[in-house]
Amino acid sequence: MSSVVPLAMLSEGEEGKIVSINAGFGLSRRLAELGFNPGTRIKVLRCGNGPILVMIRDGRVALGRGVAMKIFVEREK
Amino acid sequence: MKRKEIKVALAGNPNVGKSTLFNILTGLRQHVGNWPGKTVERKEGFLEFNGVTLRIIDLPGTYSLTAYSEEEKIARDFIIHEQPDVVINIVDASNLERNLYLTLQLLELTSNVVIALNMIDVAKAKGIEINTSLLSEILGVPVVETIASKSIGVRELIHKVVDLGFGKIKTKRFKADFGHHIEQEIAEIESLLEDINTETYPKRWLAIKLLEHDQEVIKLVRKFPNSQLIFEKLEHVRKTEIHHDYEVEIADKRYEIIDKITKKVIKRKKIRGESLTDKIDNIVTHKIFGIPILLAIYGFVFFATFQLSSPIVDFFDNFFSWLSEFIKNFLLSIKAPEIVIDMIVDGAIAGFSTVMTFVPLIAIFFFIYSILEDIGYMTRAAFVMDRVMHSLGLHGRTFLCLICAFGCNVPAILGTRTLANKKDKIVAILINPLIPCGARLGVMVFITGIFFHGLEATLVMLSLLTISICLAGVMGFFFKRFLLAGEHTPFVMEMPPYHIPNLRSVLLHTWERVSVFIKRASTLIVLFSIMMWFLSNFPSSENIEDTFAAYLGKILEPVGKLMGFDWKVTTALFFALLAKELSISTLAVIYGLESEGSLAKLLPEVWTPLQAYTFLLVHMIYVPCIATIAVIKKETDSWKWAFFAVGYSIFLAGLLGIIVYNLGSLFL
Repeated sequence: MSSVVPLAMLSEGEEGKIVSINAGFGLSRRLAELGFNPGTRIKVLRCGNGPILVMIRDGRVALGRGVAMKIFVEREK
Repeated sequence: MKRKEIKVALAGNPNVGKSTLFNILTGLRQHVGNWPGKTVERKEGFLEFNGVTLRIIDLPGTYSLTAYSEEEKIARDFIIHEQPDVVINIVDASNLERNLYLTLQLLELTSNVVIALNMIDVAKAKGIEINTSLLSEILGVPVVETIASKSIGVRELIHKVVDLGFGKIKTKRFKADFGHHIEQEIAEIESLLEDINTETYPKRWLAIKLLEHDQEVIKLVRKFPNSQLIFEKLEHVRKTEIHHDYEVEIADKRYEIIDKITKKVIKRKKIRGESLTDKIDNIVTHKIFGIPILLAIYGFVFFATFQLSSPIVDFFDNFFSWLSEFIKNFLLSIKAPEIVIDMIVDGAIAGFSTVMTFVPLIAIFFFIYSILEDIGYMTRAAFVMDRVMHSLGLHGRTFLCLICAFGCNVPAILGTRTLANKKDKIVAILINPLIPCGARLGVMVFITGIFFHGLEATLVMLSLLTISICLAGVMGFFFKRFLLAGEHTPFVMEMPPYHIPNLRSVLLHTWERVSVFIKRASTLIVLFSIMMWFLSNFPSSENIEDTFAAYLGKILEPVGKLMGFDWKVTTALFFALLAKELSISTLAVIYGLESEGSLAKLLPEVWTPLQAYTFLLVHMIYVPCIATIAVIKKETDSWKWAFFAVGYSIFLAGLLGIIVYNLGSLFL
């Protein structure tokens, strides 16, 4: 089963593939520069009430929850 | 004749070991300043190698070369205008994809690049094997494996740089293929640029940047004669291809190209179990333990600072009292006039020695701080604090700027420019001075050390720091809520893998801080101490009440009285406006007139611990130094905010001082 959800919906340890980024111009550009591009695999390392920590392209990036809601991913088992 | 100097630029992402490499290459032969007209730090250093001088310029750490941040503009303008002979691009081998993003953009500008594939050991530990020669072949430039923190591969890197600088190695121009559609647009714009003199700007780069809608490049190209056609073309592109956001598309394309490259050059081995970084992150970013760990680490930093520095401080104390005695006797023996002796011994040396006792404190504090920064803990601290900051309506990065303020408010306030939102930035600037800088911490540690000992001293320091952080939070909340309401800015921050700090780099960093402090101490502060000596010896040197200093202090005394301060203290606080560390030398000079012995012996006789605590509190909160005020004015671009910062902090300090002193008097 695969479904497209905001990144913030993944739980700790879950992986996914970025489908689209639905953010304003400035944030989209910044995320694209950091390697958040459609098709890229992403893994949630830590999430809780605060920001989430993801692993993308061998690097760790902290994202605010607001940002994580704007990145849509396809869930992977 | 053979050219003897090579101009080398050092470029790379933040947190990839760039400053470590710079420190290893140049050692103490470096000069720290600012980029002309900018507030970004500029480091330049020299390296002698086989009779050749390498002039190395450390470009600001960036992920990209757009026109959106000052740092990125500086880096790309330097490469375009200064035309360095060689650009060393330091790259994190354990995170090659992200790092190659900058590499591709550098290669659009110049092919005189040597890639330092750094942290190759970290990459191996992660199971990443890189085919270095293939990478070099694909990109057309030399690639050298390095481990900067252990000085491995640095010699070979220098060899390659020198060879490239003298043209012994030829590089190939790497041409990224952005795909048929984008390449067609680039080609069309490039052909329009063909007949235009674009100075030192590469035409293909200009074409890419125009398509990316880079504001700086657009301004630049407008100035070239006969460039109207290009803008007609761009206008046409924008109207007919509304759905294309070329900037994001080109960024995505660059990563596609990178994916192709890394697929060829990287071999991954599956590593079982979690990496060390993950293991540490599991602990320090823990939902519940994260914040207590943060506090514990800060507690340890200050405890260690106290414990390690106190014997050195005592040594300096004794040394300077011996020195002033020695000089006094010498001056007496040559029959110098009494007024000159007084001025030198009670003014200059007294001031200088008090300030010099700070040096071990500042050195040890920054030594530990630099280690934490080098390890990679500071970004985790921002991560842990973002939740708290977020609920106050503040950005997690605001916290990083606040941490920075423990060193000095000036760079911390300059650092607020990483906040894209102007309102967030002003809030971050306004609350920043509430966090005590190195100078204030020095004064705090010094006075705390006089009145309190052991655990008590640590608790006093921690309580003051907690108050300052809480105040910053509360004021930030109020400013954001009522004064500068606005949207939240997105929180996006890279967290580098942990690594073992490089001692040389840490020591150089510490030395940088200390030397800046000593430079200030030896000029401004000594002059100031002499001025204070004058103000406190004239018009009458017999009667202390009859001096200019006392007149000033007495004007301020009615307010001071509410906090238990007499005119001597208000005078010291008044003079600390110039620079916070002056409060100590002012106290030394004023009290020195009445009694013998060092300030450390004298203060407990004239102040109660409660007065000392109130002094520490007020001193910590009120008005930042002149330099900070100047930076606030510069960064907010308005005197209004600068005056506001001064005004509200004086008010806050006074209010808290009165409350704490009066409550304390009731209970103690």
